[in-house]
Amino acid sequence: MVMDGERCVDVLSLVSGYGRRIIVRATARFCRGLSCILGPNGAGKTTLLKTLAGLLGPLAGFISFEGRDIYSYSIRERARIVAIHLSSIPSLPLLKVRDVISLGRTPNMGLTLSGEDIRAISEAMKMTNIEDLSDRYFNQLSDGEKRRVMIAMTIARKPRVLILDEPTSFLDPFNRYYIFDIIRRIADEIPVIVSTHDIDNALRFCDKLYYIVDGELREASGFREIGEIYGNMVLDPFTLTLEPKLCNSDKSIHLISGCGTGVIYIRKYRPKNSITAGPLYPNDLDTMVLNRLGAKIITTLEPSPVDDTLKMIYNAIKLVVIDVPSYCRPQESITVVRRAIEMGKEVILIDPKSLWLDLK
Amino acid sequence: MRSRIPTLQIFVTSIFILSILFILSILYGPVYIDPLRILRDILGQNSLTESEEVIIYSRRIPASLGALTSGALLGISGLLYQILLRNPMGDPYILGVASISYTSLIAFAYIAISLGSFFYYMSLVAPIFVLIIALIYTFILSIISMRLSILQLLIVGVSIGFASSGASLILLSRLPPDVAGYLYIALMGSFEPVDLRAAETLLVSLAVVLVASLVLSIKHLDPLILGDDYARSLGVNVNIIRLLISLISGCSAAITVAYVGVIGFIGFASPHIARILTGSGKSIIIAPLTCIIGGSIALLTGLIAKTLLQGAPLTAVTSLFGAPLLIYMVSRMRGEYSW
Repeated sequence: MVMDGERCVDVLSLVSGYGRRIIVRATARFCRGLSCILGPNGAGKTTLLKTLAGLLGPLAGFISFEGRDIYSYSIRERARIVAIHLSSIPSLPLLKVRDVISLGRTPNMGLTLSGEDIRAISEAMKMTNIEDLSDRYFNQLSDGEKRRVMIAMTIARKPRVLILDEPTSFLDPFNRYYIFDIIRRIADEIPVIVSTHDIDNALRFCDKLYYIVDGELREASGFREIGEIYGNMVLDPFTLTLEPKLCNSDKSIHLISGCGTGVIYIRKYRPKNSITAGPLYPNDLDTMVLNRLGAKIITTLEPSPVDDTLKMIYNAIKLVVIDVPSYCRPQESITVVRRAIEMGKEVILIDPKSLWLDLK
Repeated sequence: MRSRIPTLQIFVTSIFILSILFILSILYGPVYIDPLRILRDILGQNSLTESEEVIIYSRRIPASLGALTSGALLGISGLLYQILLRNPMGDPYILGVASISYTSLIAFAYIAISLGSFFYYMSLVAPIFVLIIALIYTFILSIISMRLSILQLLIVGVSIGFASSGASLILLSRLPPDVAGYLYIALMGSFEPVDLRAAETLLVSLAVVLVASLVLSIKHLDPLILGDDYARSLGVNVNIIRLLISLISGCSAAITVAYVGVIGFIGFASPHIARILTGSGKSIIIAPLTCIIGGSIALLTGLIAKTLLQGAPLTAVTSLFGAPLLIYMVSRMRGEYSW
């Protein structure tokens, strides 16, 4: 990311809220690039963004852009600098897409649309790929199309700071990716601040990640923190999904898996017991993810993986074996299964196909 | 309604229809006078008798002007309320102006009775009294509206309307039957009592309201449709604009109530007809067209009320003839007209 010292939004000891109700405090610097704000519902993302956009006066603190307090501008001047896209999609009776995007030029235009206005409108439509929709009625579009139109409306004024509040809510996975792709391109030019629940796209596209916890905006330094924002969840850095933490009980289930099938097994069956697993290759996806989710794992790096695993199996109430191809599991696992059967343990054999997984 | 008539064509046609209706409403009335003679007289050849001249110049022309202007005022008022309240049910009387006017008229009847010459005061002073009360109410409500959400404003206005209707019913029931009967007729709405001076007032009000709403519709009305937050982020001073809209639409309603009484349906229907005809929701197109359509409906119903259905209350005629038209137009829309 290119740091541009001049064109940054500086937020200093900002206190944002309604009347006497303080919702969120923030100190941060948002520069060119994509800054994403995560946080559970009700954390104060919208409140903070509205304050940054000048829609909600701060209770204390300062917000400045290029060194000047944004609340020192007139409403119209500020509208030309900061644009905000809101999470709710309005109903716009009988307005066509072109009309809606023209509304975005309100702060710039004179009495009628000038050539420059029209150029900016078509650029915004091109950028969001909605040129074909120009003559359609806004209310008749799909949610994904409406989002793109509203984003085009927001960027038509060519803002110098763009703020988006949950721009991907209600959208299908492709459209969510697509919207972030558009936002990413805008962020190459100006500071863009996005609030979202879309963690996978945030991790894909954002330059900086922030989260709001206990009414405070903090910059995220790693995956571990991000999972914790949403209560008892763990972020899986490989699949970019949030998984519930494993249960902590004295009765355990032992898993013999590989190639990530163990992760899919616990995602599908959500066991009510704690999980142990092994023997696994140390670089197997199961090793990395199950470990993060809180499972005890025996890898082939251990001095005696077979014996250690058998101790675990001895204590387990159930032994689940996922029938993975030989390249997914260490040689030792065969021995472990054979000895477990001799021990009299019941073995539940699971076909990877029943986990919707086609291993070749 | 895939293929649409160009907007310009709709404007030209509707202005043409408006003019025809205006002329017809001068040519025809309860008293039959040969239309050709009237036309010749208006064009400068003295072809009318003196009593006929009185009918045409001090009754029919002011009344027709009254119909045209109050129809246009009601239309624009309805449109502005629909935008302000973000509600397709928006109507000039939705925030209680009509009920307040009723109540003040009935209250004034008590004053007129106590002052002695009832009919003198009722015909000369009552409209001004009603206008002042309605305007004061509009101002107060507009100023309060800046601190209310749209839903709060709607509920406050509608509730005040109900409350004052209740008060007016109690007041009305305590009046002697002949006075109550007079008020009942006075409340039903008619263009006939509009004299030249009233027509002038209405015309000037329409000019002011039309200019003001056109100026607003260039840049300030449409962003409001996006919602307050979006409008603010587009640099619109939402509080001021809402205050202005509320004042303009409230005053339009108040003025028409004072001069022609309460005439339903025009204010509600005209904006919808304008939107359906043009297939556009842009205020700059809808606002002037709503005026033309409102004026036309008022002239047409006035014409029907004074010829075919003599003595019928205007509201009855507007609703009876307007409702089927609006239902027909809405039923032809295929999902594109949604709020």
